[in-house]
Amino acid sequence: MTVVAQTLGSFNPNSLLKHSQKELDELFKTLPALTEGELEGVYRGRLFAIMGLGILPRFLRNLLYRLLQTFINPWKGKRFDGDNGANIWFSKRGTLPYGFYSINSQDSAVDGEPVTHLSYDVDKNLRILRPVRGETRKLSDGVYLARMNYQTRKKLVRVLYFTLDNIS
Amino acid sequence: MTNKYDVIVIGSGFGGSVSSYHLAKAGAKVLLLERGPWRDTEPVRAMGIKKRSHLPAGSHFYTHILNRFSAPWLPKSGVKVNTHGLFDIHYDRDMSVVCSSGVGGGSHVYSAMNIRPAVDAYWDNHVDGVSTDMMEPHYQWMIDKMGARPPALDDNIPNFTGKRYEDSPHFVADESVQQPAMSMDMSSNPENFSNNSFFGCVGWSKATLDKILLSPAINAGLEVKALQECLGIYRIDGPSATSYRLEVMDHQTKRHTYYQADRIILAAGTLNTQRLLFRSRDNGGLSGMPSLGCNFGGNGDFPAYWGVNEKGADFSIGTPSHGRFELRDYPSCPNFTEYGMSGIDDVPLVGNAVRNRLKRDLVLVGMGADRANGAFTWKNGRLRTRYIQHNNPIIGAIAKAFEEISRRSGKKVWFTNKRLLTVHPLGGARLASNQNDGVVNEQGEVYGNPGLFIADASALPAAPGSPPSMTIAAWACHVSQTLSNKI
Ligand SMILES: Cc1cc2nc3c(=O)[nH]c(=O)nc-3n(C[C@H](O)[C@H](O)[C@H](O)COP(=O)(O)OP(=O)(O)OC[C@H]3O[C@@H](n4cnc5c(N)ncnc54)[C@H](O)[C@@H]3O)c2cc1C
Repeated sequence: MTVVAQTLGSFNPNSLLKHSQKELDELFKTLPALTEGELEGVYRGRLFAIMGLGILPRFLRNLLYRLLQTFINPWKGKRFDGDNGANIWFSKRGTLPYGFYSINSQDSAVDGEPVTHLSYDVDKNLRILRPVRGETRKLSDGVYLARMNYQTRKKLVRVLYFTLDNIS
Repeated sequence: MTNKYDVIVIGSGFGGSVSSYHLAKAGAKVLLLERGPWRDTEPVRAMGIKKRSHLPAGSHFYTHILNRFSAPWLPKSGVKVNTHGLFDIHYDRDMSVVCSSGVGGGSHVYSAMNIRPAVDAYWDNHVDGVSTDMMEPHYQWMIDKMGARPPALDDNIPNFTGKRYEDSPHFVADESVQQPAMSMDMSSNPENFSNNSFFGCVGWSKATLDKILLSPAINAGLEVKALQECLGIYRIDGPSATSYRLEVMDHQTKRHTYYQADRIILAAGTLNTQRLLFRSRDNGGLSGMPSLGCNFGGNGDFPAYWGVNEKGADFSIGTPSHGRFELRDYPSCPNFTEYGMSGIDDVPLVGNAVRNRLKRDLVLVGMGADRANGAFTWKNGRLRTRYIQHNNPIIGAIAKAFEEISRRSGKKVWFTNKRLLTVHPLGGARLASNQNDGVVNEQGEVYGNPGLFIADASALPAAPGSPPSMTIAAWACHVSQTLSNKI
């Protein structure tokens, strides 16, 4: 697996809020993987393309996902510390971590291309969280596109997409 | 992601079709993305294209006439009226712009005049490596491909100015006035001379780019995807090469889709190339281009309505343009072309009085090389045109000549120089020897963005002063042939 360093211009993540999961799958396929250790520190998260909400008109989805960027959403983003990380809640400083994962580079279970893989199969997590599988690629300098998949007994289900941008 | 294509071309007008043709013929793997549909014309049917959209005529006139309309009081990117619509109209205070949408670009709506620049030595002294002499074979190639020639008196073409003004004391259209070559079948079949202009041509009489260039290019391996509108260009710098990711709206599935290639040729027409470049820079996809938007002009276009109301006349038939004429004994007369309301029979109107009147009147277009010293501006996602008339004396000269035409003919020429309108927008990403004076270099490559080329009218270095399609084609020949030597 070869992972290349790429620089991309700065990208406004909000331009993706109207995209459907299928559209984001296409975009995700074109994105380059991250270099080893590229994600380090605290990143602000923005959620969108949540499973089941694709039936809403684009403008409504856009509105809803913008609302989820305000104080009403306790999820603020993610923290990366070497091979491990956690979701951060209530404060962007990352002082309240929960939902832990281990980080490694591997080929995507969805499209076979290299990704940074986040596995929630960690003892500290509640059992219900353990089948969560995250995949991350680089969208532009300092902005990453990621998706959260859920491993059921039969298949991998795409739950949502989110972007991470560096705030530390 | 591995790149499937050597080159992706955006837009299938004169710049895009010519580029795609040369690259495909040279063996490159080329994808052509066009926001509009294939048009339902006989040549396109003969090509075996299944999904076609109507030209605006009959019951489809009002639904298929407009693609997009933008104006300062509308939302910033304007109103998308119908993806299958033919015209894209940008209304603005200083200068409005009309262009078209569909596979073949402007060749469906244009008046088939295939001319070299009116300005002598047009290509000289802009950049090293591009000259009028080296561009000449490209002009000749394109004019030959289009099968264009000037109309002659013995073609017996209805309403041809050469015939109409033969004995006129006021106007002249004899050999002293060079008639434009036209890419039309001018043989005496009456079908050749109706419904062949602004609203497109269903039959075979007008040479359009889909049949002339895209059909053979498809046979050489070109892939054309219609109804795919490029929304943004994102540069990706890898360790060994730069490539570009294109965000595209697939209007068939109504979904965003993405393509990637190391080389992109942008040929979406002046207006839309400017929109794409500004938007991509805004989104962080592209950077640099300090001169983007500069040196825009309307090629001195100045349309007017000539209420000749000639008894028994039917100016709606003939070639798309009836030809040029000048004012007799009028020194430095600007260049005038006249047009009838071709296709008016297929426009649903209440009653026949308006239709009959429109058939008896003419549209006049004055033209000449302006100084192309306007600008496109971009603020909060909105494109505006800026153009100061007083800095372009050709506009005043045409207005004066319109008044003289009115006076001599005794028939009112209606025009307004408060709101200029052009069908020949050019510049904004012009050819220059450095990035402070222009956007592209002598190979058509955008300064600071290797692998991104511009092959449409926005790259032209100055106004040709005559209809520009052949000049755009010549530039696209140059850009694509230089590029194909590198692939
Ligand atoms: C009514 C009229 C009459 C004319 N008569 C003449 C004439 O007689 N002689 C002459 O020389 N010139 C004439 N012109 C001008 C001529 O048509 C244009 O100068 C020429 O077509 C410009 O070529 P282009 O390649 O720059 O762009 P275009 O031919 O406009 O092609 C651009 C193409 O790109 C597509 N496009 C735009 N945005 C996107 C996007 N985001 N993604 C994908 N595709 C996109 C458009 O749909 C279009 O098909 C006329 C124009 C008009 C409107």
